[in-house]
Amino acid sequence: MTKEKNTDKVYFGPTPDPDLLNAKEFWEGAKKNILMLPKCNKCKKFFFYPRIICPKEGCHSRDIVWEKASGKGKIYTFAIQHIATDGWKEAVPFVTAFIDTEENVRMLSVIANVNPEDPDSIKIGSNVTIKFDKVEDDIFMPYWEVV
Amino acid sequence: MTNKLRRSAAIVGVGESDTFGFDTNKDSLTLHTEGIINAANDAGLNIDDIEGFFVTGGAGRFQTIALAEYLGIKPKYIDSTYVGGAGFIFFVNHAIAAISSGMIKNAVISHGEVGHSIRARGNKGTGGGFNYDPWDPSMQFEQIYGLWGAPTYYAHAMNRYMHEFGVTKKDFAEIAVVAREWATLNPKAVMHSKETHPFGGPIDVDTVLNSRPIAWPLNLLDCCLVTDHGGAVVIVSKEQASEYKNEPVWIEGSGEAISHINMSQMEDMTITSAHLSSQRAYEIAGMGPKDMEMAMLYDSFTYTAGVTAEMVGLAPRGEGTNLWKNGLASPGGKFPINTNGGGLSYSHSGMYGMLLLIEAQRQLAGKAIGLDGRQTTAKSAIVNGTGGPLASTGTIILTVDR
Ligand SMILES: [Zn+2]
Repeated sequence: MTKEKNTDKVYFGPTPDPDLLNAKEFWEGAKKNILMLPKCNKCKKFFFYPRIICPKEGCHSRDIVWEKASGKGKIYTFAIQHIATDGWKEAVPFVTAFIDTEENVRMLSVIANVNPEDPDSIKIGSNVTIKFDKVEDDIFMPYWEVV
Repeated sequence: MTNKLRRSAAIVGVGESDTFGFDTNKDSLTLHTEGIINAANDAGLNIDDIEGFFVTGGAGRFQTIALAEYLGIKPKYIDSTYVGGAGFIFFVNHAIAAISSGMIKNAVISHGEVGHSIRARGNKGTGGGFNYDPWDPSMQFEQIYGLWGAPTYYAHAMNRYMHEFGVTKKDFAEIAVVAREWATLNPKAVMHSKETHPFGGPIDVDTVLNSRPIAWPLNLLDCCLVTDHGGAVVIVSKEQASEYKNEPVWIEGSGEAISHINMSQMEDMTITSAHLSSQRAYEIAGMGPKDMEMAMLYDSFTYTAGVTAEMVGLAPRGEGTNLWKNGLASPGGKFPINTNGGGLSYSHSGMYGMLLLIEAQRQLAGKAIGLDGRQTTAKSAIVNGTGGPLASTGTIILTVDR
């Protein structure tokens, strides 16, 4: 059943138009294969997605800094996508997952090195590490691999 | 002390579009209009007398004004809240506020949507429509990874839930089976029989488990239909309730709640805001889950209905799906749920909340149409709608005086 896939290619989605106002550091970091995350300079908590205000209850500071993240996390949950649009059509079935990073933020991405034909072989709570797929010369998309 | 919002208004009429289902060959304004005319006739309301107008559906960004223009009416109070399929329950909550403040005496809530036909029509002749902003965080960080619609998101929540509570795909499949049981008693249900749809008629757990995967753990029969549908309800103040044709179905309490829109911001995917919206509704009603005799729980997916049953207090955590087992929620069962056949087997055009309201009113007013066994004896109902990627919930509590 599994189609022949280009083994180098992990990201099949559209080329993003990076938000260079609020997420510049994220996209610049990706170019260097580093996960950069926004952090509130007042309550010292990381958050994701990038924005101009800390979303934490009781804080909401606008003093935001960026820090290099460990690039490690765990699978909070995953799903196996059998229907997709655009470029993802040629990737089905593929595994999407919400990853809880060590910095305690949750990000959606895809997991590359698991078998989408066998859901029981993929475990919630597994340790994962971030990788980057080059989409264009200066655009790199994060994805994750089970350690 | 009785909350002053309790029973401040009643539903006195409901209506659906003349036709619904697949390929109605109608546009959303037509579906809206048919629903409104049928609901107004059901209640005995002249559409020129509509004061509050609450609209969401597929009629574009100016839809409330567009629909008023189309009908040739100029209501004095309008609301176009967009929170997905829960919107119609939010509208009831908003209508209660406007009616109990004295600003309006009646409200018409309307829905019309070509969920099915629009797939065939695409963007043809629209000049491309409006595009989403690629800088929007949901575009930039979620949808870009191939999440194209509701099932792609809900599958993540269902998997997490199964992991935490040891509940299985089989347990959730029971919800789809019971929905189909109700649909087989409802000749208007899209999946009523082989006559209404090639895959209609009775199903069992294996039918669900063997249907094609959409977004694991969701199979096709775990997912709601995508149809064309329109509908409306008429709500009036308690002072006016006796002036209409139908026995009033009282709104004992209502509540709304939101949690997130990007699913990465949903702290615990096994908890929806329905525990808050239901708490708010129960509090106004002075009632609790034990006082409920039936439920209409938005079943966009089997998961949605199962987890919602827990959130609104009908079942303990991890045991929501048990409500659908051993015939409990089935026709003739002790606690009927989704008696029209649900979004899974009756009809679901994308924003299903309106059909929850219509069915709850019909059951309580004793006007459920269909085969023997479809009309329940319930005199109270809890109605909960969920919208977006488990993003918004609205709950209302309804009763009749009989
Ligand atoms: Zn902060």
